[in-house]
Amino acid sequence: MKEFTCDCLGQACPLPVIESKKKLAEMENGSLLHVLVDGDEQVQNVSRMAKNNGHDVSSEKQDGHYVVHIVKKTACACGETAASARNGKTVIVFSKDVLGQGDPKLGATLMKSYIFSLTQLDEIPDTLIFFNSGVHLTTSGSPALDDLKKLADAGVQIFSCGTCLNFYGLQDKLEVGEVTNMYSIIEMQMQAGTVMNN
Amino acid sequence: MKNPLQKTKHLLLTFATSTEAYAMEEACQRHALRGRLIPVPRAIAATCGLSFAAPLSEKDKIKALLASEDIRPEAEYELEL
Repeated sequence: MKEFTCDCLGQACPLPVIESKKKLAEMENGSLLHVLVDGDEQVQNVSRMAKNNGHDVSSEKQDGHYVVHIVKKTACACGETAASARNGKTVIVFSKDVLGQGDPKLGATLMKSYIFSLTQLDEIPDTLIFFNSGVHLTTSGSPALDDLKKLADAGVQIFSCGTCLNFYGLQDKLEVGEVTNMYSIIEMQMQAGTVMNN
Repeated sequence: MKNPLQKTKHLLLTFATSTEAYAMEEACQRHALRGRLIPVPRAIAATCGLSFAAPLSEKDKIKALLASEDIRPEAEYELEL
């Protein structure tokens, strides 16, 4: 097994993550990378990056610093495994215009971040369904419209509940996707391989 | 399904706190500049946090805004989003 070392001592985050990723990109599969870092935060960030990319990771403390050991695995093989583990279509349901409960400003920011993040995925969902206050996201004035339009252009089906649009007086304000009804919403959920609720 | 979306180069700014990231977005909105808060991309850090992204074409205006509003990002990157 070929071994490499990435000396990130004295480097604050995110530099150790960036340097480790660069080094991993140059290495052959099966090779071992030792990343030298100062503290626990860097260990966690480098380890999380490596795990997220499908590599094997361990770490240890050595003489006042830490070493993260990463065995490179094929990233695409990892992706195939994740994709093949899922059967059928992926449907994401948005029942609110904010993500989670708590401060509404934070909730709105998190929802924008969530929808933006969908555009960055290698595997995007097949269908997005919006109901109750979630329809504020698909109508005029929504901060998520640009990202939703991108997703629609990429082939993602986007549906908003007609009853909800009427209730909020938004029936003429729909900017992306189509209007649907409760029967279709239930059918799409029942026929999906994965349903995620927000 | 596979993501067919094309990525384009962006200016990305990270901040020490989310309060500073919010202040950056608000300053941008006040000056009608293009830009938005997004989660810190995985390519930069595996941590949970907010960063500010703007199309690279806005770079000069954003830099001028940083100076005039005395906003100090933690780091600056250019990457495909």
